[in-house]
Amino acid sequence: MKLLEIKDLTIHYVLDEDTVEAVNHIDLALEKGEALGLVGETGAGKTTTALGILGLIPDPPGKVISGEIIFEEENLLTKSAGQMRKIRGEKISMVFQDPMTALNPVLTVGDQISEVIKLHQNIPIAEATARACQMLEMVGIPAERINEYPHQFSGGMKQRVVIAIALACNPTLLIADEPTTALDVTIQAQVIDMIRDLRAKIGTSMLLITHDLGVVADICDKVAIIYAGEIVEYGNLTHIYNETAHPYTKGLFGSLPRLDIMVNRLNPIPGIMPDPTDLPQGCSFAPRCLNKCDRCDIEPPQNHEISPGHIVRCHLYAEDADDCREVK
Amino acid sequence: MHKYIFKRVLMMIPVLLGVSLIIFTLLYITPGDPARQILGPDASPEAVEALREELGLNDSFGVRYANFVIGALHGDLGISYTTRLPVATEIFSRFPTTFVYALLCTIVSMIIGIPLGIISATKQYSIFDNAATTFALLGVSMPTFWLGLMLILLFSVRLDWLPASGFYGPQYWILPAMTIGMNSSAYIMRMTRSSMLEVIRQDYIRTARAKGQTEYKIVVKHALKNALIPIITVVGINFGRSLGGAIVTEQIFAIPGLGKMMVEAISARNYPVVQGGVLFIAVATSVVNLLVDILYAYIDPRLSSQYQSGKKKKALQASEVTGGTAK
Repeated sequence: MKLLEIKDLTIHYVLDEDTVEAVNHIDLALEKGEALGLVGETGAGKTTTALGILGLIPDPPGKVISGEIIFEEENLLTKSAGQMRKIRGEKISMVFQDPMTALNPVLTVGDQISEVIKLHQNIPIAEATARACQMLEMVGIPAERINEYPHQFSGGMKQRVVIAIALACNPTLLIADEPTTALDVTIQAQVIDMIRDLRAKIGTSMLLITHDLGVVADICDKVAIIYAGEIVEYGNLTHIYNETAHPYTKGLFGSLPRLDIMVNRLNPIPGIMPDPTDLPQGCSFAPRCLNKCDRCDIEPPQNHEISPGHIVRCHLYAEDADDCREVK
Repeated sequence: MHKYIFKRVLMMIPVLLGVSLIIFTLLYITPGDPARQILGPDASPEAVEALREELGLNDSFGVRYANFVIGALHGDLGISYTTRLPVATEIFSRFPTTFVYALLCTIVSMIIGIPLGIISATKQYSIFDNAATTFALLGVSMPTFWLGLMLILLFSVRLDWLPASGFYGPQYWILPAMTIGMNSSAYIMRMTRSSMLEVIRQDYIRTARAKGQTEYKIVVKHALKNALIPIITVVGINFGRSLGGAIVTEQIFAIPGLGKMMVEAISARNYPVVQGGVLFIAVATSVVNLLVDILYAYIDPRLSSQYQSGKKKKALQASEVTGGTAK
């Protein structure tokens, strides 16, 4: 059963002079109990997609232009603010990128964990506090630190607190927005291990936003590669890692440092991401693509399912695109 | 915390010494003879000279300053030249009026300024925000003496609703409180607005939204407490300033407070009253500042750990490193 299905989602930030086309016609699906990795560069629209699911796009300037976000068979985009508040924190919760700023500095961590419990579960305060203690222990922080403030914790511990808040109501969907980016490498591994263990324990589905392909391979079942607000390739781990199809995904793997091959220079994808206020008319990736052909500049590519469940958005895989393949 | 307060109280000593030296020197070099002022223009030079001797005005600067400081340390601020009463008695008879007035102005300005600022910030660029910002600009720009006179003109002279001067009961309080309240509430509103705007863009506000918290609670519980420090600073400054006597408004509304006393004392060259008054204002301002600083610690736990004694701080840091429990 599909837990979350995003269809044709388009989100723009409408500014005075320009319109930032942050997310363009995204389709995504997440089965119950699965973990989906959403991988892309900075500015590709990953966080906007996540905030869109929660209905937290800052408006103004953000506007959902089109699409549906179907969660447990209901379209979240047609729900009222009050209905969304009931879903946020209880059914869908989010772990944010930077634990240093994600916690309120003037409230104790206990307050911040029990707040979400009190909001969604009709239980006495003492019980909510007890539950907050349990959550702290679950993420590996001694429960007696419940009355301490965020500044008394280290970065890794703050991220654990953020995770405890996110998991306090046993959500059906956890959105983790680059949960390890702001942490140093040794702590990253701890946090990733913890997320994987807790997910196994609670059975939460997860949307993991990251630019780290290694982390995705470690904990995700499906992967979506996002570029300039579009999903360019979607599939399971085998599809993405072993049968890489899209030139951008190939470029991503090509630019990873490898332990087994001696190289003097890394091999980055040439060029930079297009300006989201002025996207190319054809394929967004065309200016940087090594397999570019004439129609890439003119016509946006369609989704092509090259094997069951493996979708690629590229002219290379169009049935009538022999000319493109020849150039390659 | 106690150690911090003790340290701050100790630090008040050099401040007060400095203030007393400056005010004493200023009065010393000001032209005008108090003895002549007291006796009037018809008095004989001999009588004036005799009075100068009696008041100790013929002593050298050092002796006079030392006498003043020693007296002040004993709680003796001298005798008022005009009323022949001890200055301390004069100050304390007028202080309650000024205190009530200052408190009133502060409360009025907070009641107007803080909610306006919050609504302005949460509804940035709305019609309400524009109206409130315009009100604040008006409030900051209008001089209090002019606003006070206009209010008297409208409510006392034209409409005859409220008394124009004096300070005898609640109906007398309204116009002066409106005059100062309009001005300081504008400052508080602007500070609240900018401070709230900064806070509501923070990540932890987004975290609160992601929890499903209501907008009202997000503003009151999560945002306001974080935005409070600059607001309290402005409120504290305003309160401290009005404690020293709102000189202009007290004069306009004939409020028998410290401000009016000081103005009268200055024009009469009533040195002991001016010195004692300034010293008292310095003490009051220092105490208000200290209270504001202590309040900071209650609002922001990060500051209270800074106020803690060195030993405790070290223990806390050590426990942070080991990830253990701070005791």
